[in-house]
Amino acid sequence: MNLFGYFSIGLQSMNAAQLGLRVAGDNIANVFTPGYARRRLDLTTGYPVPVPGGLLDQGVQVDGLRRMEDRFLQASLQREQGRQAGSEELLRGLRQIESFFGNLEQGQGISSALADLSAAFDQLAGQPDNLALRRGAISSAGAAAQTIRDTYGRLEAQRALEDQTAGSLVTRINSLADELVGLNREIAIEESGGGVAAPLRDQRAVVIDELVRTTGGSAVTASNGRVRFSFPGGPTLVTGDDALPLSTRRATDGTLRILSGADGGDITDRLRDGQLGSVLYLRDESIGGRLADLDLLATDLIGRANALTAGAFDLQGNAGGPLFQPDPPGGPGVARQIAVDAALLQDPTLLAVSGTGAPGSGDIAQQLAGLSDQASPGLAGRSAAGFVADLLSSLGEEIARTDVTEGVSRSLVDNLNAQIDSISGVSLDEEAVALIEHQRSYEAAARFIQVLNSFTETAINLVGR
Amino acid sequence: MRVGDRTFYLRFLAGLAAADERTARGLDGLTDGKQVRRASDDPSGHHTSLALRARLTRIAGFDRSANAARTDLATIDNALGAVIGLLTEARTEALAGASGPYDTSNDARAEVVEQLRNQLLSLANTEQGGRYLFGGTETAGTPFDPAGSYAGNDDEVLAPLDTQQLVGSTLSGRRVFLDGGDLFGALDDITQALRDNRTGDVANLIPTLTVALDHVSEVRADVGARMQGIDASVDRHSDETLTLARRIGEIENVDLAELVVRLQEAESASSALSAAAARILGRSLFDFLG
Repeated sequence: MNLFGYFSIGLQSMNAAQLGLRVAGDNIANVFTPGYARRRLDLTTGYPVPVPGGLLDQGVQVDGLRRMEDRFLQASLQREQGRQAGSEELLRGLRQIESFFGNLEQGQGISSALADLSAAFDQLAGQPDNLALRRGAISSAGAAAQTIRDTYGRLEAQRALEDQTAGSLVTRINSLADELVGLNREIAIEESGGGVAAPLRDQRAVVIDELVRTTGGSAVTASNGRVRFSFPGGPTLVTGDDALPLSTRRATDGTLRILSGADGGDITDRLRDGQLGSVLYLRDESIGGRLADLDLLATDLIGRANALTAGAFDLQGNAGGPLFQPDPPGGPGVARQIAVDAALLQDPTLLAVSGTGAPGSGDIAQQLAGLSDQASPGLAGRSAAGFVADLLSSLGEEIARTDVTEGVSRSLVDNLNAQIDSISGVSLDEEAVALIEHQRSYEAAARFIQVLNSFTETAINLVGR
Repeated sequence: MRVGDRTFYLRFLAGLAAADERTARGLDGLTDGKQVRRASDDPSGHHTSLALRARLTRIAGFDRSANAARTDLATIDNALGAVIGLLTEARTEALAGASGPYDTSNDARAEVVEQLRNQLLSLANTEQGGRYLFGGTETAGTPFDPAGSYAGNDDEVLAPLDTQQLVGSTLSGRRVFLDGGDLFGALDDITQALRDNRTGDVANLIPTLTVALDHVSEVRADVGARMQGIDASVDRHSDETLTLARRIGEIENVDLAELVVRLQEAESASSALSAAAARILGRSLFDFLG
């Protein structure tokens, strides 16, 4: 290489310094940008040339720009974020469900209403011919029925809301799948000529993160660089170049069913991860289960109470009618309809609490008072009060478990984020040092060219003489 | 380990959020003094508390029933006291009428005994709030007609004092006024015997009144025992209520001292974190470069 060839070494060095400056600037600008992984300029020594006595490196060469990431950690984080998002959603829904049952201090719950019913009938048993106490007992039975009805209504409204949310999430998932396919294609095009389409990969990471949180699924990068995305358990959402969007249909009970884009199969019951899985679990298991429980409770209460009053006599000595409607109870939705028989509200003397027909006989009132406390075969041998307490207890335990799971997930996510940040995160101190390095490198390269220029000037002046 | 700037902010935010959460929970406890409001706060504690609260409500119902029964029994006791006084007076009149030779005042005695018989009928038809207390469970109609025939039954209105404890709050009129001897018939017979001046018959009827007096006194003693039983039940419930309230408090109420310490810890953590963040966050090598 002659003297003029050395200029290219200086130029390469200045170019590399400029690029380094640019990369440091990008890193600083994106220090808090979600999905951004810090960039690093890969520099190597220039291809060596032979010189007398051996090989000599020829300046610096920019090999490329590297997006600093650890795919294993990233995959672990995504998996845990999916779990965390699912737990958060579940926790939100379960707490909402729990609030429908009232709290201890306010005494608004079914347990409280059942205890009031027992107390009112206890009192009536001692004075079964007292009209005020009859009204009080009927009113307490009505309040218990209304509490069950209201709780059921709130649960149904929440189920409808979860159903709508599931529909919105399906729409969002399909939209994200389209975005992922688009980014897969753009990245393939951009990187077809070599290099890394880092900004597009950042965007794709954000899309994948949201997909994972929404579905709990997993992303796998194929050898061609395209990302495949699948739901837990198999159904594919994105094959790489194509999206297989979910579709929906309404079941006969009106609930939303979710169909796989791959084969059209109903995958609703298999989706139990991420936000969508939790929303479906809340709709079908948490709320659906509690609705069934309330139906069971209402059916049992109506059946036992009406059986007692049917064998009793009212204040006029006539054969008794039902205390609760619908009579007979049965089928889903009984808890939505349970109410005190309208005739009793009009005429409290019709309440049948006498086993003998005598107005002072309150033996049936006493048995009605025991409805809440006595074990019933219809409630698997539990009392109504025990059944409600168990229902709330199991709900509370599920919330407590989910709270712990969510906390563990959050902690894991924090740790994984810290680990990932140690690789992908921007350190302003590092970038400050990098800026100085590049600045100094640029100044040195410029000085190198200046010296070269002086050399060449000397040489040229020699020629000119 | 290499640490990115974002890690500092995330750690600070996570720490602050945890301290805030602890503070918010503590403040919730301070607001109403409760640590268990819902099942998720303490599933087993909540389960127990529901049962204890239901028992408290039930006790209140039992006590209302007991108080009503006691009022009825007190009225019955007063009536029986009056019956005893009335029978004693009738026996005095009968003794006076049977003791001497012909006495023109026996007509007046007959009038007195007849009046006492009418008062007895009125007492036998004692009512409280429109309910007849000597008709058994037939509380709606008058138990005795003017002739002294009983129209009630032999049952009693049974007021619950607890789940397995009942107390009769009415009496069978037959038991009070007929089983110890037909009081109305005896007084009718004495009245007629006094009018007819059949002193021997009058003397023969006196033991009937004596037996009836003993019988009514026994019934009254039974009523007194029932009232004592009610008082004992109410007292027992009063003790149980205190115990239940204490147990509910132990489960539901927050330990204020512990809560204040927890709040102070959260505040200290939050302050220390904020102070550290103020020193660390936003500081970098750039601050020292010219």
